Amino acid sequence: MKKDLRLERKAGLSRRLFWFLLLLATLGLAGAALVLGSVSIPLGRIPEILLRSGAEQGGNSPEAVILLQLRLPRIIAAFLVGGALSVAGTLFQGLFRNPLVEPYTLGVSGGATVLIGLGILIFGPDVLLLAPLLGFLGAVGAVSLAVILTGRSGRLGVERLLLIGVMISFVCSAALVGLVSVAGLDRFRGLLYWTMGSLAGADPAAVAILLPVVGVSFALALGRAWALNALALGEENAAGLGYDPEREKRLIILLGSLLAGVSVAVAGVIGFVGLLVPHLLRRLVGGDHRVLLPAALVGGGFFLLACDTLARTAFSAQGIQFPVGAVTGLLGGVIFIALLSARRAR
Amino acid sequence: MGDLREADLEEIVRLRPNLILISKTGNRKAVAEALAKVGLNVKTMERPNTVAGYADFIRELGLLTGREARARELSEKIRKEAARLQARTAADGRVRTFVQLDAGPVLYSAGAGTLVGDLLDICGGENIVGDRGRAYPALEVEEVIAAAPEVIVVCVMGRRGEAAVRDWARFPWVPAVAAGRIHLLDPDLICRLSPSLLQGMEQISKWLHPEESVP
Repeated sequence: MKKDLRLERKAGLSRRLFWFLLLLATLGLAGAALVLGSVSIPLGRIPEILLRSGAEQGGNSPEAVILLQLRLPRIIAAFLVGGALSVAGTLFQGLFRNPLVEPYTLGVSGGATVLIGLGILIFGPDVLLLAPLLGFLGAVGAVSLAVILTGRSGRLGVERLLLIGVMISFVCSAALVGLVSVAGLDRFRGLLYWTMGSLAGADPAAVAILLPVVGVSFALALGRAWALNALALGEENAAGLGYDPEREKRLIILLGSLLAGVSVAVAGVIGFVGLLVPHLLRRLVGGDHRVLLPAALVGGGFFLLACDTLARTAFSAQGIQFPVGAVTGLLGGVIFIALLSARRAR
Repeated sequence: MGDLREADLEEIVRLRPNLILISKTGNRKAVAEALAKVGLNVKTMERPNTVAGYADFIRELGLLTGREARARELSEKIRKEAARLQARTAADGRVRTFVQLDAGPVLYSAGAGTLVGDLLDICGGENIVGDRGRAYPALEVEEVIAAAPEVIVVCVMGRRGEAAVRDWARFPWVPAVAAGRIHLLDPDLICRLSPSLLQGMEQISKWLHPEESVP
């Protein structure tokens, strides 16, 4: 029975070739990101530095510290945050059967920013030290609010939920402008940077938080792949196949907001990854969530790592560090528009 | 009146100030023109980006406000103090210094052509940021630690400043960290145009060149 749920692949790309290329590109990119940076460390010396620092336990040479404590954690964090956002986007898009849904259209970013903004207004800029926690609570809070408000009417209506999510985003951004007007731009400098998203603060501790949360959430999400496939056939069909649509929806929304929340906590607000990557991948590997979800994890990780490496190194000699959110927005937006135009032209 | 970007024109006109100073960089020309049109005394001034320029700025301000004598006195004091500090540390060599203007995660600093950069020069510091063609460049942590600063001045107030200082302990072999020469400084002392600049200058000079090391 379940075999019938395998959704047909649209693209002709062989699955094995797809995975080979994606993994190869990701590894190549990670290697490049390790080599690139304001301080030049030749590729040939990296194995030696890594081996020696292993022997010295912790590695005290500046180069080893730059590689192991600054660049490597940032690379891993970029990969995990990108993967988490993209998996969250895949979950929401699959659930709502609407390619425009991503964590941010459900109010995740708005909720996170407003909670931190309120904290700054009440307790002063020192509260930015707690930004990861507040951001996480705000993100999960906003999605829960959307779900609760929608659920009042009984069953979770997809359009209703989406509308409420968009409204929550609007209310939050208006509230943020209000907060900034009341307290003055000066106090919110740190927050404004945070709302543009950055992986500059990604240290080993951030990786230690991301790895288990993203790992477990992803594993649980993968366990819902069949349910997502069933829901794609419509709720009545899913119920006919033995899934409880309401329960599945709540579970999937919870996992999606958990993934988005932990990303917001580590990297601030990064848009477009959760929108663009699942959309692109669905064209490449088709709509079967058993394939799409792992592809979203690696593909999203690849995309954000590429954007972050660009943001970090492109103009660093001139003293410019782009917030990665600006790069994803710019690149993602342009790619998305190009895709849509190409489809129309066809 | 209003904020940095948007002046509240109605409120300004209502208060009818004797003199309006407008920064050349911060405000739109239209604001200055609108205020001048209603007969207010508007003067556009360039924000100084050297200590000597600040001394001139004070003098000009004195002329405009009719307190020439006091302004000249203060202006002279600033020039003398700068010359004294410069002479004090001249024989001691330059100290590689990083001035951190933000708690992060991106490290903003001040480069050549800024008041803070000039002040550091007067205090006998060698700015690790150098000249990047930008007044306030953003740096990666790896750049700072590779430049091996001997002193780090963190200009962030409150717990975030303290946290920023603690954060440097991750790199114990950076000379400034090893020698415990990381200092917190109220940004108001060096980033704002006020006579407290003297205080900030004195403080930084002492950090870079403690009494005992000055010949």
